[in-house]
Amino acid sequence: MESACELHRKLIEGETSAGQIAEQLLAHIRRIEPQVGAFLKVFEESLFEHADRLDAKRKGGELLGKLAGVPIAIKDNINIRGEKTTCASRYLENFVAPFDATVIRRFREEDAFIVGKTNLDEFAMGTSCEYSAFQTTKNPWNLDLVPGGSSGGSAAAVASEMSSIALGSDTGGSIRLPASFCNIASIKPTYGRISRYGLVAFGSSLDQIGPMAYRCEDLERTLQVIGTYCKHDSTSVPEKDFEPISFERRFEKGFTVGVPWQFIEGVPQETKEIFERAVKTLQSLGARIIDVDLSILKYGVAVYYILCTAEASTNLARFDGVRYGLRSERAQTLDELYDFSREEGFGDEVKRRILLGTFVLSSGYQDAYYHKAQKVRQIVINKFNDAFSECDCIALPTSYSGAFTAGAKKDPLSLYLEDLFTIGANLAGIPALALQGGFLPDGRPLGFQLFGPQNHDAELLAIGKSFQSVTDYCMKRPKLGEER
Amino acid sequence: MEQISEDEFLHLAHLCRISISKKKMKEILVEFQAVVKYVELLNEVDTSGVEPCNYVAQSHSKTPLRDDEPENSLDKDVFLKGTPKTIASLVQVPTVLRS
Repeated sequence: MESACELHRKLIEGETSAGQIAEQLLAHIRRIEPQVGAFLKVFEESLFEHADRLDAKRKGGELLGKLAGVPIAIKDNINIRGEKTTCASRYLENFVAPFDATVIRRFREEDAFIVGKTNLDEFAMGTSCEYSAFQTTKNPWNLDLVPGGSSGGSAAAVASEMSSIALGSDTGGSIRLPASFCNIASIKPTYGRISRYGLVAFGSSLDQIGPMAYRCEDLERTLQVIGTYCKHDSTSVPEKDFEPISFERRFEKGFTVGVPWQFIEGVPQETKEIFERAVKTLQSLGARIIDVDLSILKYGVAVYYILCTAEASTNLARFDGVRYGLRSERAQTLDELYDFSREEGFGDEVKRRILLGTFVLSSGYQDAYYHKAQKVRQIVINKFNDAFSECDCIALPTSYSGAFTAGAKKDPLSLYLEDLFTIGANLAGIPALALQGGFLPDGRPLGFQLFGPQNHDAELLAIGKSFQSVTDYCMKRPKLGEER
Repeated sequence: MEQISEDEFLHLAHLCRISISKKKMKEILVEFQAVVKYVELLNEVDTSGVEPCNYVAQSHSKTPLRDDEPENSLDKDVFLKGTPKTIASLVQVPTVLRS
């Protein structure tokens, strides 16, 4: 499949029709999806209705939107009016969203094809997509491996070309880790850049919606459409605070890239080799490489699992068996209604996080855990500010190693540590671009990331475009189905 | 920190409004203790004189309140479609007060 921008151009210039795009896409999904399991639902019917409307619009000479004809898959924790939003949880198994998230409204305004809802770890809590209550999603590069999480369905859908673009949400690395495992790119924008209105809340001071695609041009086009101010999200940042996106912009000579060499010292040799090759490529593009001190990030996972669980325990209090979602049939009293509905509706990982979050917020422990973590978070922000006074962006591996075998990691703490390199960007609210870094000797993809100062999302994408123009990892596709 | 006892853990589960069987509780408690032990790594960091982080985005230094303009909200009947039990546009819950 072509890039989203190329597909859009073909439609605009009449080289293809919306009907043809929809037909080819669905034929491809029917062949590939049974192997991968990326979707919780594919909108077959509405896709054709939308295609007919779009073709009629084009024939009538109407102006088409910026994403006309572009297939976009949506993580199933983002509301689409009239469709289920399950968050891959039994609790919301039959919940139908009564309104559109702002990102969905923007996609409709720009004529995008919304392909379907993708699988995730329950309530976006996980790093492997194995905590979904409904199905496991497989890594299209090797079906024995996990796709990464929590936006594993979105990553697998894009990697196997069942959608040109997908939306995920990133609280601690949930769009970047799966991007690394599946050889695609993604950007977690500056906190507040994309409206969270209609995204089911997990850790509100950390959550950010972000696009996933093979090419940076496609991430850029999506961010341009959905990165707009929204009055329904009180943390939405006004557009005047951002550098505008420039499609022509590429990496400019004289950029300085900081690398926290000490922090990444312990990574396996094969991860280091891929990362060092990426840094050398940036150097060949004219970047100056300097060493920066971000050793504070070794505390990132601890800070994150205090703050995100505290916020999750508060956010998930709304699931009480009363207003929507699951209501336990066993409950005779109001207390039982709360207790049994949550017991039956939530999976173990969600329960673990609610318990931990309640613990760190409970009187007697709040100072030692929650307030301590808030202070260390401030130190992390200060250290990033120090680093950005010397460099334009910071390069880091995305993950310790490549995708692991499904079922191989059962201990929650070992899964939490998968986020070691990604969490810093969420704690500091800064943008982070995940790019393809190449392949390990056994064929597993592995990515790397670039962090930028707040509101400098456009700069990161410019660097990403330059990087992708001199490397060919973003052109590689997994071999799946009979057609290849 | 001292180990959390099974009774304390059950009390915590009650605060969370999550009913857990004894068997499940024992399993979750072991994992819980390991995570609590891990996050205590933060005790190594000197935070004296550091203010806790309350705002993440630089642009949020001002209170981000929108103008107080009336607008249409969701239709009640549409919203109540997702409610498990209703009576005449009201949400039904089990009896709270008994005679």
